[in-house]
Amino acid sequence: MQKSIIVLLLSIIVITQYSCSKDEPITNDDGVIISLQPNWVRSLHKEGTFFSNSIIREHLIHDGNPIVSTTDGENNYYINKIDINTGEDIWRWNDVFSGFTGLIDISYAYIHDDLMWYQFGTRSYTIDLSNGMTVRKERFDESFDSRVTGVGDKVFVLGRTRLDSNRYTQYGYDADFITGEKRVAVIPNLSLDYIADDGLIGGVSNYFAFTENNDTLLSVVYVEPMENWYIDSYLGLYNFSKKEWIYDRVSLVTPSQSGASSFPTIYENKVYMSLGNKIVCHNLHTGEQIWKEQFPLDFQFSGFIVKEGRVIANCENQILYCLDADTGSELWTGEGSGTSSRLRYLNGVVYFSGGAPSKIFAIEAATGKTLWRLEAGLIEEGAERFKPDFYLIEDKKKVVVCTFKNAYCFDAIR
Amino acid sequence: MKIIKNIILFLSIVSCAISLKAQDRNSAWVHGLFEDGDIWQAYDDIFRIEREMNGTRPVGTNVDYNNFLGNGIEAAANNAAGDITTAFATNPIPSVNSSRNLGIGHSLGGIVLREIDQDETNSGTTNRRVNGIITVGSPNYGAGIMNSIANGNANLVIQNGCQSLAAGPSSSLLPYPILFNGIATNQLCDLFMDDVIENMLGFPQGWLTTAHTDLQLTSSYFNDVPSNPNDIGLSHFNSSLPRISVWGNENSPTHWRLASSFLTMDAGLNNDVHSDDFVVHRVNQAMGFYHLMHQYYTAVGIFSIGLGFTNPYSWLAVPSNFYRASQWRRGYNWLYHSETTWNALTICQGTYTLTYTIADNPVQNYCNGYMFGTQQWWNCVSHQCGCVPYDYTCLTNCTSGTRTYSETVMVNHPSDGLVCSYSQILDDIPQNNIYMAEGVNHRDETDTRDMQNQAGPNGQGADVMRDIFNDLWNRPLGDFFKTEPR
Repeated sequence: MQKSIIVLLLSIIVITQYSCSKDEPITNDDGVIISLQPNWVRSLHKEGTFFSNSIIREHLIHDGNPIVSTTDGENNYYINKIDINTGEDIWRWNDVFSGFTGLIDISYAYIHDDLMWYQFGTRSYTIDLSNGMTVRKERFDESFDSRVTGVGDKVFVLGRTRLDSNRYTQYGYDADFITGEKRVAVIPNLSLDYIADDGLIGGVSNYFAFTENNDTLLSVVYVEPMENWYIDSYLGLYNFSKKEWIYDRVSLVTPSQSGASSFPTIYENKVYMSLGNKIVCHNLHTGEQIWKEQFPLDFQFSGFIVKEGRVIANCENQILYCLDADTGSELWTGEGSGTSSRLRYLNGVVYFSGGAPSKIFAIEAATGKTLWRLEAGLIEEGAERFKPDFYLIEDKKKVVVCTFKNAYCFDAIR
Repeated sequence: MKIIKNIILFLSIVSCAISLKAQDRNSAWVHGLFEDGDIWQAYDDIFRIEREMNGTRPVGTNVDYNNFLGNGIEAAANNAAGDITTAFATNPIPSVNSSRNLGIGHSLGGIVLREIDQDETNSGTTNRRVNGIITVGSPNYGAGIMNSIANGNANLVIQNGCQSLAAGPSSSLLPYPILFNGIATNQLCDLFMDDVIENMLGFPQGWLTTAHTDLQLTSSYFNDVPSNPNDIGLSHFNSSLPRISVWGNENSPTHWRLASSFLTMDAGLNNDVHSDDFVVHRVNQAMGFYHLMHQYYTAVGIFSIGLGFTNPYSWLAVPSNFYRASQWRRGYNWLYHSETTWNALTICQGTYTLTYTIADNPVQNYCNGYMFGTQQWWNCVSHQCGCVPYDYTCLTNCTSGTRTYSETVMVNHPSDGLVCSYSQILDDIPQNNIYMAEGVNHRDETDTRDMQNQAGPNGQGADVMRDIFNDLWNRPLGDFFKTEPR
């Protein structure tokens, strides 16, 4: 009897010890968490197979559930809405136009209520995210930029417009969510001083829609070509409701050959943009430049966010910069990852995945301290990288990340 | 299944050809040294379907520039220029001199495109064949391996490697350990040099063409600064065209990964399934075996010494066992150091001076044993700080608590296994025009599709080169390289 009790006690101790250690995060010598136990894991492919997959850079969340990319292992690509609590499918969709390679590229999307609009080239879709059904599916006559913005049920897109056989531009269009019917929404004031060798006279490269005093406003970045493929960039604010410019042709940065611009980000009456290796801040209502900062490389992939008085930007040189949103002065620098997922933010913590170090980072926004540096190989045997697909479900405080094989759900830090 | 896939691909290309539009840009995908146009087939096919791009692989469809390498890169470029003109003229939408014509060159292909650019600039041509260039893994300032082959260093290293790998089995009168496909370990060195490097670089007969000489790091082709500016070396030519460098940054061991890709993509090993760690695993096995044999003969030698005290005849076996152990160690050492050796051959090594400051107070640490101010104390201060006695300024500086050291260390430059990063990256283009292909070696640079379907460091699901090209085509409005999706 005594022997049995000892065996039982020993078993309980062993099991308890094992359980505790299994659920404990693994930290390195600096106290940074490098591995976590996920809440759930689900395969992104057909039962253990491994296959190439689409990439979703947009933050696709609906009803608190992420929408991830999957395959069936037979050259068919899907997007799946999955239950945040279990990782199981709610629906899956792949009603894409045939004749292409099949990969579903959702770099940008506009979601309002249950509907999502996304486009790639001439292919454009509206999907009902409540049931995964196609609402609209059409081929445009011209290729459209994949960037999309919107206000309420009004979608704003950017499309190439041919003026004649030798010249083209890019206008902003407003489109109907359901029918896809488009009308020209904004035409930039171009100088027409120079026409590029390919016929480009200039055009809208990026814009962001928002409402103010019941008017729909568009913060517009547009470009004009110069010799030797240089680009000059301008900022304007257009009142779409009243069809008038509040201001335009505000010069942004010195012309350059590589002027990739981000979406204008609106924060406390200021507008922020990254253009090439610079971040600029302008007065939203006057266009006046407040500050401009230059960095070693650009922010093309991961971009920046503006939260709680800070601009946090993930530079391609793998350094995360934090600037004072009012002055542009540097508050701290921390670990970045260059070409990675876009930045996500929750309760004072910035999250991102992928990039050259190919880890998942969580950085404290107030200090730049690294809280997570999750390593793929410690979470999935044989894995070395995370995809740039990254989801943060705010109300549930969950993080969903993907390797090229599986999706993993973790508890957010705060 | 493969046939069905090919039919689908063919139909896609046909339907794509039917949907060609005037805005489609011409792109010429130019192969590298002793490659052919098919090397670019994967991405030419994909982007003809996905993007507004009328791709061609013109070089190699007519008389290939490889046949002109005997007369140097300039002659090869002249031939390639003619091929590009012919191909663009016979496109479904002919456009020989369109301002949007793009050239994409792998390895020497990038140099060929730059040579065409230089020729057209010198001749004042306004209607250029291509108006933007993407170099992929190109030796823009030369390839160190060409120097090592020309001066015989490569041959010496390979000979030494073969002898080192053969030494252990020979001394033990054992057959060579078999690694894969009947290839024994002693052939590993030869296989790498003959089957991989010589085939990739085109030395089947072991001869050097003028182009090979041109490709050396120190060649006049790259470095000449003559009085006639039209004859200036390509390294000094200032191009006005938009250019992008895509550079391969292979993981360690770069040379065995390069060999793996070549052997699985071109030599039919691993059932033609592209893998960049196929050889790596086997080299690790070989290292383990050589190490084991070294330990075995060492142990037998030691045992023989002990046994000799009871049977003196055993001492006779001691030298031979230790000799065998040392011979197996030779093979292990060659494998262990082979990447460093390879980096020396490709001239991907350099020195870097590291300067660092540490907290230190040598007076407190080392002179406290002497009475302050005495001659012995000052002698100690002089020794530690270099101060002459009673130089209190020097003393104050020395006790400030920090000391700066510098040392020179040897570093390996990143590379694609064949061409170092410093040569792959054009140094006169904007930083934003430089794209790193992570985990991609020289052979992978034209096709990383298979890598996407494999777990492990090979691929992890990413078709790295396709992703990079998509990033290039997605550049902003007004950028030369922006190419819209269909």
